[in-house]
Parts: sequence; C-alpha cells; structure tokens
Amino acid sequence: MVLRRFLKHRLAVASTVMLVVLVLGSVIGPWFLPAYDAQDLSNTNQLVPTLAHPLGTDELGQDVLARLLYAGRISLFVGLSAAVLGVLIGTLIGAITGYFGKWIDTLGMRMTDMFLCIPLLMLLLVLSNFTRGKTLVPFIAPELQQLALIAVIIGASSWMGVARLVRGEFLSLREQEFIEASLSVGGKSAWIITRHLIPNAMAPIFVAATLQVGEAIILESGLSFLGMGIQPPVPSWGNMLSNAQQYMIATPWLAVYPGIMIFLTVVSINFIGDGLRDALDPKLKS
Amino acid sequence: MSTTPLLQVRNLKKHFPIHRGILFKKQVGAVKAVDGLDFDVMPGETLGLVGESGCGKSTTGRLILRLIEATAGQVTFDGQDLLQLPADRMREMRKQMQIVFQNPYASLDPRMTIGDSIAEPLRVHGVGDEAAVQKRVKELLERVGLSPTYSGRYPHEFSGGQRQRIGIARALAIKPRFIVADEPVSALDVSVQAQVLNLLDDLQDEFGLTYLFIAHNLATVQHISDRVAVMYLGKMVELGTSDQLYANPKHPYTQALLSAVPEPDPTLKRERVILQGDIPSPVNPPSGCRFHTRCPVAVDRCRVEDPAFVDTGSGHMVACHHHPAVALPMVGLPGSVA
Repeated sequence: MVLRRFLKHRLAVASTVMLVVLVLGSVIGPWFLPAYDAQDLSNTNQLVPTLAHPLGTDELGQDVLARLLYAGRISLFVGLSAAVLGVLIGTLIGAITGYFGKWIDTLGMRMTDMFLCIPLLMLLLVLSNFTRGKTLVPFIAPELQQLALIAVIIGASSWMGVARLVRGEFLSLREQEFIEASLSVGGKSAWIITRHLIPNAMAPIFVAATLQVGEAIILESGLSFLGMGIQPPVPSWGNMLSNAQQYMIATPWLAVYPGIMIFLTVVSINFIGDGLRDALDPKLKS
Repeated sequence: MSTTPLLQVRNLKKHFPIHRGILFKKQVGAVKAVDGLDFDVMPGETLGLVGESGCGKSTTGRLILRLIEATAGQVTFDGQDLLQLPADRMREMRKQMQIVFQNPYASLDPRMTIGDSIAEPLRVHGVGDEAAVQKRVKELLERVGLSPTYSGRYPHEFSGGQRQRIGIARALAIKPRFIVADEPVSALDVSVQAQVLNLLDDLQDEFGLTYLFIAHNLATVQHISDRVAVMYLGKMVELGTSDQLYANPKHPYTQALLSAVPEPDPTLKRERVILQGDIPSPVNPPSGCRFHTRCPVAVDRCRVEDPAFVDTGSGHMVACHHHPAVALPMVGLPGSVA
C-alpha cells in the first residue's frame, strides 16, 4: 500500500534510482577500477580526461574517478550517520519535552535555544580542531575514528530543528482524544509515546530526517573544504572541492565532479523524503 | 438491582486555574467547571447526565476516570476511593472502568489498525497471549456488528457509526463493569444514533454493564436511562428516575429543558418555557442559586442562599427553594408562552 503510493511519486522513484546508483557506485564501484593507492604519486601531471583516466587525474596524478567514488563512501557514510544521530537525539528531546510539558519542556527548549545560538560552523571548526589526530578509541583505524568523530560532531550539533518539530507535533497530538483513550485503558507514558505519538509524528520526522542527511553531507563538505573535516589523503567530496579551487583556471572540471555528486545526492534525498511523506500518510489517498 | 452503589461521588470539584503573566504566573481565578457533585450509580443501571454545553458534564465523566485530576472530593468505586489511589493501583482499576468518546473521528489513532486499537487495553494490561488477543478482537468486532475481517483496516476506511462501534468494542475489550459514555451518539447521523444506542442497550443486558450516559439530548437520555441527572453550571439541579423526571420535572431548569424537546406531532399544542439570556460564566457563577439569573420563578431568597440538593420523596432529588415546600404548577409560570 505504502509502496504503491510511493511508486506513484515519479520524482521520488527517479531519485531513488539515482541514489542507488550513487551508493552502489561508491560502495562496489572502486573494485572495478584499476588498483588505486592514495599514496601513489608516480603520475605527477594533471591530465585531461583520457581513456585510462575517464575523468582525468588531479594535481597529484591520482585518478579522479576512483577518488570520487571513494569519497562517495566517506561522504555518504558521514552524512547518513550524522543525520541518523541528529534525528535520534532530536526525537528523544522533542518527545520528552512535548509529552511531559511543564518545567521539563521549559528546560529542554531553553537548552535547544542555547544550542541554536551557537554558530554551528565555528563550533564544528573548534571541535574538529581539538580532536584532530587524537586517538579516542583504541584498536580502531584512525581514519575510521576520524569519520565517526565528524559524524558525531555534526549529529550532536544539528538535532535542534528536529527536537522543535517533534515537540510541536507532540504538543498537538497529546491533546487528541485517542491519547486520552489510551490513558483511559491504562497506557503508560512510554507506551503512549512509542505506540501513538511517534507513529503519528513519523511523517514530519521522516521528512526532517531526509533533509538532515542532505544538510549533513553539505556540512561535512563545508568542513572538509575548510580543511577541518576529512583529512587528505582520505578523499571526501568536500576536500576534493577544496583542492580543486587552486586549479580553477587550468582544470575547472576538477571542481565540477564533486560538486555534481553533492548536488545529485542531496537533491535525490530530498525528493525521496517528499515521496515518503506522501506515501506514509494514510489520509492522503490518491 | 442491588442496593449498594457501584460508584459514589461525593462533593466532586474541578476548578481549572486561570493564569496571568508570562514570567511570574499568578492565578487570577478559576473556571469552576464542576463545583460540588453528589450522586450514586447503582450496579447495572444507566444514569443519564444531561445539561447544556459547558455545564461540566464531560468534565464529570473524566474526573471519575481520573483522566483529569479533581480539585476536591471523593469518587468511590466498589469501596475504593479512586482519587487517592497511587498510579499503579489506578491502572489496575482501569480494567473495570472504560470510556466511549463523543467524537469517533478523533478517538481512534489514525495510524493504528482498528484491530490494534481494540487490542490495546488487552496489550497494555498484558492479558492473554497474541493468539488469545486476536481471537478476542474478532469476537468483539462480531459482537458490535462488524466483520472480523476488518481488523487490519485503518479508521479512515470506516463511517462515523462504524467507528463508534469500534470505540465501543475497545471499551469492552477488557470486560469492564462500568462505562462512561460521553455523548456517544451526538456526533452521529440521526439514522445511526438509534443503532448505536440499541447496541449499548443490548451490551448492557449481555454483560451486566453499568453506564454513566452523558448527553445533551433529553430524548436520547430518556430512551436509555434508568435515572437521569440534570446539571447546570457545575452543579446538579435535579436527579430522579426517568419516569419521575420526565413526567414530573420539579426544577424550573428541567422544566425549561423538557419543554424544548421537539414534539413530532404538530397538532399538539403545549407550554414552552423560554429561558432568557445565556448560561453565566463558570468563572464567576451567580451568588445563591446559580440558576436565579435565568429562572422564571426566582425570589429574593434565590439570590442569596444556595439551595440544598434534597430528596423530595422516593429518591427524586431537587436543588430549588421552591421544593419541597412549594410545588409550582408549570402552567402560568412567568415567562412561559401559552
């Protein structure tokens, strides 16, 4: 039922296909390319696209296609996990403040306001500068730690919108008669929140979550672009953009590729969010 | 019918505070939605509760079930004061008392299949395994006149009358003894009202249920109730058996309400008591008898002294200074239209 309604949303379907291509390309694509080593600097020329290097090579002679796909893994992973984390934190805080109200609501919302007052980019810059190169958890590859750290930083600083949204939804849902009905049969707070309130607030949460993925990918790119995110030699769309700007005149296409990737990913995700919202709402019959 | 009441309500009050100011909130008054109610509900009976909008009848139903916390008073159900029970004991008590809501469009979760909605009381209380729950849901759907195959559908696929049946099935799921029916048919088409009322009636006989039936339509209440209570501005003005109340209304307010019931026979002429003005604000109820501002037979005493709610004989309770002392005939009341 939900699937059928989703399939009617053409843009969302097209976006899903696009996103699947991007994800598959990033995850399994590199296996079909000639072996790529980020440390291999034997090709020192910036090349225009050739058969051997379909998208050319960058200033260090690395194959741009390979880097683009590897970067996709990184950017998608960071964007997705940051968004999931942000939505989880936001939903939790929004649910608690919206359901219990009174001083809990006041406390939670003032905290949210406080977080909203902090300039996000500055905070991200400071945090990543502080934690850069430190080993926080032993036995995990430092590159992976770096990724997880950036995801956590972005996630932990972008939950406020979702918290406000969920709180608002809960405030209005809480007054509905079916919540009273659940109370009258003896439903506990946890039951009411998980069985009634969250399912009813799911549509806006979904939309917010997809927007969040796009935003997180853009934030990660921005952070990497400023040199505070993913560090070379590990590629990300953001740091590829950053590198490319030095050669804007000579090889402008170097900037275009990661730009297109970011654009396509974010646009696809947003359309999918739209489609999901329409499909998940049983009141919208078409 | 036994003589010990199933439910005893004593001096029940609910004052909703009115706050002013944003930073330093102070209470500047209170809406006295329910202001001192006393009544009993006998096992197996239907007590009708009528009154115009805003008189506190729905609030009363919710106070009894503790969906709203009372300001003062006692609600004794089966020997236990519900208002004093700790939350976990109250949750247990909810197995015995349920509510059917007025609005069948708002009282079912739109994201839950109706089967899950009906099963909710069972799951909340952990009654029976999944197979037993499913079986009970099918049973209930059948009992309220819906196909058991509907259990996987969502509320928006049903009509108002069907949804109200679903709401009734949910209220019955856990086999309660007492049901508050909060205007269960007011939101339905007239053609469907009778069906739902008859269903409630049949269920009462079948399961030995006790109802508190809240309504603003006197005809509906007469049809289903053994006894009827009339509320005005947070207080009860009259309480009697259906026969007593409909044949011999004693309070001027009840008389006015009854005279407003539409008469299907146009050739029949009858007295109409037309009330002047609107219901006063429950924030600042009139002094003395609350009805004196609109009462056609008000005297000076009514403006200063609040009449007691007294038995005028065989359990017919009235709160009016004219009773039991003076029994005014309805005809010729000032303000009545001949």
